[in-house]
Amino acid sequence: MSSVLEPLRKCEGLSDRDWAAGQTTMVVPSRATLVGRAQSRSRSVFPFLNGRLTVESEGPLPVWFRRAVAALDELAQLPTDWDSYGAGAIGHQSILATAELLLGIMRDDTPFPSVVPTNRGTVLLEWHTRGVDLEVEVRGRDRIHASFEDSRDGTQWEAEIGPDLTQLVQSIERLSERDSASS
Amino acid sequence: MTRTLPDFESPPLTEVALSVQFEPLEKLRTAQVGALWTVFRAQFPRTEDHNPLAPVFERFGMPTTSAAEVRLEMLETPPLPRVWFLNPEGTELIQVQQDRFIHNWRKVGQGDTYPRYEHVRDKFESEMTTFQDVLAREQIGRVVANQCEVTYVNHIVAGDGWQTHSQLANVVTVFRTAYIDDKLQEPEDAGLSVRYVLKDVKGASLGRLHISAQPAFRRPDSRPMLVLTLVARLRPPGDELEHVIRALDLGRDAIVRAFASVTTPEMHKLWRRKDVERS
Repeated sequence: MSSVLEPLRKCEGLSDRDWAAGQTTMVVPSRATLVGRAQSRSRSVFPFLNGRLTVESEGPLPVWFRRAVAALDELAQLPTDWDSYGAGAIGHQSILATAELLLGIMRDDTPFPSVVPTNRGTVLLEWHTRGVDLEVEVRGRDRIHASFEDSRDGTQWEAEIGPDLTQLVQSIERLSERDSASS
Repeated sequence: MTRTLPDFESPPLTEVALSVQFEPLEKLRTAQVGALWTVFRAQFPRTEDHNPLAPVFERFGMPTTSAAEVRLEMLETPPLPRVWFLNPEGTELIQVQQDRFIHNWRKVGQGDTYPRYEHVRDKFESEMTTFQDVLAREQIGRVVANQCEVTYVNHIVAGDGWQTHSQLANVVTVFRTAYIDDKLQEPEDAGLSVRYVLKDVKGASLGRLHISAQPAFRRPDSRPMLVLTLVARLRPPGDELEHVIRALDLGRDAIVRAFASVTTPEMHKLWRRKDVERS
């Protein structure tokens, strides 16, 4: 929300709640919650590149996230032409979008993906396990290309994915729930 | 084609904000914002710096009620603030940051009247055109819009129709107090938040409408009031300004209809409802 009237702290995306209004300010009880967000947003900070990566989330972060940060930090440090064929450095927007995407789609029992750079300066997530081949190229927030193939039943799809992540989440569910002994 | 939209002669509206979020403009730094201000300075002579807003996207199909917010802060390049350009009265302002452009109208004094959506939208469109011209002239980049947002904030002050925070049901239709026994007393206060998915004619998800009602007290007289906030956030059908305007119009329609739908007919009488046909 882009309102400039409410004097609450920022907690709803576009919200502007840090403005102390003049004649029209009001006191909103601190226990108020907005749009389904839990009031206990947790904040985690990781050293990253020459700065820090800050994550605000509902509840504590999953244990695998530290591994994701390390993998993304490694990619972020790649210089231009890291592949000797003129590849671009990995864009920060792709890195941030990847971190958010993983937090949105990964379950605790999802195998951790390979996190690899592309010569387009984007991040590619790869799962080649349990009979599933899932590749997700994260170009930016809401700019995702994914392909999926299940060798067990022949299911496959390839799509540009926007705000609706249903197909991707279902594929992650299928991968996560499959017996790890499957090939 | 004409359509009927709910309208009120005396709405409790205190703020309207139209916002577009876009792919970050890495070359939009302090000097470039200064260049932008010179263009707007005659109308908006005052400036303020504020913390930037985090990007937000409406997503669907994820097993969470809200996405995690991830930020990267680099030591060698401090984040560009969100800069406000304000008119002398403080009733209208522009907010600019690397990935956001916002126009706000707000009620500052009792005499301020809402200039109506069309006026606010025309100002937003004109200012966005100017913003894009400056981006092109200064070779900063182009706006690639990814989310649009319409915000309506209503201050519904206690008086006619309701007196205390316990009477939320007198104001909104989506809350009622009905108990299966008599153990609970009247609530001290009540608030609510509701989300609706906005869909296109084919049923595809476009965005969300967020409605919240929160108890508050008005300054300086401490009268109870409800802050009823409606936020429509949706993805534009393209990344050009015309697509942004279309998305804002859709969001505004959703908000106006929702406001009439979630508030009670008794309050509508006090706000003098008069639905109008619009082309």
